[in-house]
Amino acid sequence: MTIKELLEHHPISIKVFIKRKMLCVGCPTESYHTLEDVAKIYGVALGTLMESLQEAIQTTMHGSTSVKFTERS
Amino acid sequence: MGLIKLTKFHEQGKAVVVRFIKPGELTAAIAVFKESLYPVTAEAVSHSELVGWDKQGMVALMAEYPQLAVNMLGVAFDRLQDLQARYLELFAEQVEQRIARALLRIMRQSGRKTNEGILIDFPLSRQGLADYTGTTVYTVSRVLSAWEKKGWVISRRERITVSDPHALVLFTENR
Repeated sequence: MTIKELLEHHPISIKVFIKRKMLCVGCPTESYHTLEDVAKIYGVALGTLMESLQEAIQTTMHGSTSVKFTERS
Repeated sequence: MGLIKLTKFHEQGKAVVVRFIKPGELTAAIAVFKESLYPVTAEAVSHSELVGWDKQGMVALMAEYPQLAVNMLGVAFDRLQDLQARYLELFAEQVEQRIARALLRIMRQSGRKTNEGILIDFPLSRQGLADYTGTTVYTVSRVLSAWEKKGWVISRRERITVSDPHALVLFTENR
């Protein structure tokens, strides 16, 4: 999943990127980079990033649907 | 002795440092000679001692000791050179940022992810990029070479790969 897709499916992700001062929102690479790329670029553990996103998404969805990020998505 | 910081405030109250005045340096000469306000804020960074002259006194001294006037001219020209260098630096950086922004725009539109980075997947010549950014082939070549050395781009015959898009983005954002 590219950053662009992530932002489209889960707009709440914007909040996470902004909080972490990451420039992903509106970045020219949004259609190419995945979370894995982003984690590498910013020197953040991919797991930590995925957890933050999962938490933000789950909070807004009021637990109605379960969202799980895997290393492959 | 001491150190004085000269700043200029622009709208929104943001301060830009104009220069630092070290011991032995002249400042606010323009206020003396042109009898106008020196539109700058001065702040002592460390305990400083100042010596000042008024216009009449200074002019009289210069009439008696013309070397003072010659020295003053020297200081003025040094400052001018300083400013020119800074202006050129700023201007050159603006051009480089313009090229970076253009490359990123094109990359966003026509990129393809490869293991080297994001390839701009159509023939983009130096001339094309120069025309697009209002610069010269010479400038574009020079800039791309510099970026290649930094590992930001890989430029082959008309196929440019942005190997470090993050670095390029940071560059355009002055970060």
